[in-house]
Amino acid sequence: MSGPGPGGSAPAAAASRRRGAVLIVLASLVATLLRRALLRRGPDGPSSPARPSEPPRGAARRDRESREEVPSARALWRRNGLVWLALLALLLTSFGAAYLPLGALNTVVGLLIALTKAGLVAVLFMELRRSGALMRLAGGAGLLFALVLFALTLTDFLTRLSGG
Amino acid sequence: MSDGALIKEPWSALPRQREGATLGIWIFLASEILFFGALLLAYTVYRIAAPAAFAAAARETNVWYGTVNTAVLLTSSLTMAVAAQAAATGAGFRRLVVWCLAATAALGLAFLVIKGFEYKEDLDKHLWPGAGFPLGQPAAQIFFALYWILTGVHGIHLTIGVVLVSRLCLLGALGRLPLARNPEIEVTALYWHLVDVIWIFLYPLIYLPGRAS
Repeated sequence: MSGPGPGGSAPAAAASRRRGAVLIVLASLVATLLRRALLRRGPDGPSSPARPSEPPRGAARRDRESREEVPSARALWRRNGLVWLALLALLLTSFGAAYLPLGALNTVVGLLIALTKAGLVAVLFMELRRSGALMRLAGGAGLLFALVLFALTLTDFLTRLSGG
Repeated sequence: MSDGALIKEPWSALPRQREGATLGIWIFLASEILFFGALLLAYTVYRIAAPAAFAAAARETNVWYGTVNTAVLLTSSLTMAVAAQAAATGAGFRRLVVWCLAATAALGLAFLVIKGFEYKEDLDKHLWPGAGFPLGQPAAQIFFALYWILTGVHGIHLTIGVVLVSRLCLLGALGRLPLARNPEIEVTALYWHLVDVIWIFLYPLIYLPGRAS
């Protein structure tokens, strides 16, 4: 990304480099905040204190599991069924919104709804909230690097193809 | 408890083994996110280059097949989540787990069947890149190249998921596989949810552009 692109002048290249730098800084900031927010919640929820003198992890986990209440089948269906209803409602919303003349907002709305649906599946169906921070870190790493992939590529194409 | 039957080397405690299996599948899911991310990036770049052609091409897709299929996959995620959470409790949910696994596999198959009908319609309309493509803009052919690749690769992932879920359901029903707290169910459930999430992103990118005009 050094030097002007094909057909670009020096000031335009400098402007696109600045825009690229801003995009990268923003992306890393978002990623850091996201990671910090996700890692603050331990497996027992946000109010769990630090556990400095822990018994061997396997034994502690077993104790925690046996102390937990076993949910009934109805509770399982209700808990997950509510998420499912929300997902279907979001699906119908995105379907309906696609037919409204919103211009460029159509894409934004569609993607925002998709992000919400994916978030619901990830946190509630995939139980990211109850899993350890390690799982959130692993999944978050995939998201972070996909973000980097998009951000770095788009700093080129957004400024090149749109005539910038 | 039949925990002992599930413990494999090098683990000595089942909760630890479950945690290890869950971490392993999440790392794999992260790699899948990058795999589909690269394909979606190609879509993004070409759409930025030719937004009108992409909108025109997207209008040729069948939004009813797409929307129904999305609802089918979301429902399959519901049944898979119930199966996985019921199995994780370790309590006597065996019949519930087996039926939910069967429902998940059936819904996955339903998705593939509906997709088959959709593909047939696309082929009848000659919606593949090359001579005889119905739309004039060249970028519209790129949209459909991406359509076939994205939905095809997703379909392969879904087929693998259906096979995995069916195996768990059959072995569980026959009593040959202990289901309570089995890490395999957790791992398969996470894979299944990822296939659903991928489709959640494919839906607005393939079926919804260009509908407002």
